[in-house]
Amino acid sequence: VSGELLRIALRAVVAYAAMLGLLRLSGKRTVAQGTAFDFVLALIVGDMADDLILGEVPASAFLVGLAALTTLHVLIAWGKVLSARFDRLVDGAPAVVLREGEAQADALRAEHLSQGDVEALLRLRGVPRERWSEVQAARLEDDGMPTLEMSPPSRPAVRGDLD
Amino acid sequence: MDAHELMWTAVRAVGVYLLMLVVIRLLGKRTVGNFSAFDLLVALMLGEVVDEIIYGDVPPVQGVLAILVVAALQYGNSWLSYRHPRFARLTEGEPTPVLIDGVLHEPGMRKERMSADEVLTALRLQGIHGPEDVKLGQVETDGLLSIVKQDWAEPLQKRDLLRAIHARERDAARAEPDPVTAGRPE
Repeated sequence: VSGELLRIALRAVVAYAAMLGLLRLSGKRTVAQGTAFDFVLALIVGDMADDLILGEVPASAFLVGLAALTTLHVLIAWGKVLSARFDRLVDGAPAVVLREGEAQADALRAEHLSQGDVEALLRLRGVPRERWSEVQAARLEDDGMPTLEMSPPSRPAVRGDLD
Repeated sequence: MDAHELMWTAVRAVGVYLLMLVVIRLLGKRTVGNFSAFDLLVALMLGEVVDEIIYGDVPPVQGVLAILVVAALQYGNSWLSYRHPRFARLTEGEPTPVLIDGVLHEPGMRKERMSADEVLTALRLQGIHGPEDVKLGQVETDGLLSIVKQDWAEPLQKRDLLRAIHARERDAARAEPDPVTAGRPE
């Protein structure tokens, strides 16, 4: 039994080192602050590692699978840099859900967002329904995060305004 | 493990990667984690199936079917939530107020099992110094606390500054004695 425990510890070290190495090679943006897909990919790799650690698959299968996923992910990332069209195909484009205080029905339908969802998105940015008129544009970005662009008079006052 | 089997591992990894790319793209931006706690669970579910396919622990056809069914359910669910607010209330719930007009709202906190400390921590994380600045604080369906501040606690906007400057100029003009009438006997 202690031999098996030792092997689990060893395999954990291998999995940890392999993932650290591949993440460094593929760049910091691989999984951090990425799109929904980057997030799911991170989950997949994590699941692959636990099968290795508990000895359900040989290390060679883990390493080959991990290398295949990482290579493909890096290739696609390059493609996105080289071609704006490819980027749009893979990640989509930010959806403008609100413009000049008006909810944009087309974008809401495409993203399956109800009026209530948009209200919640803006509330999470501190803007209640009665202040929508202060918003020039609200977008749902590729990573699923909402961003707000306030209309010029409603932007924060800055020191430069005093001049 | 022989080279042939390892090659198939790589092939399955590539195939399932491309499948997931398409599935996540079709599900849209609201798939993962941002709208409700359940979206996060769906992402975890999909991820768990994928590694079994890559390792060949399940036949690819079975694994792919599982992914497609879960994805279809998620798509149907988000479409129904979009079309029917009542369905959305059923599956996603409603925002729960925990802070109303600067006062902690006990029933809401009990419902979300949130302590006063947790509410105050959430406020501090958003850079708000105390509950008195808040008009309405709600736990949204994704589990995050949304804060709507009292009007007087909102940051100064450019329009506020302009209004203040104009008001001051007007007051200054009024306070200054009229050069024509100044010094004239009553």
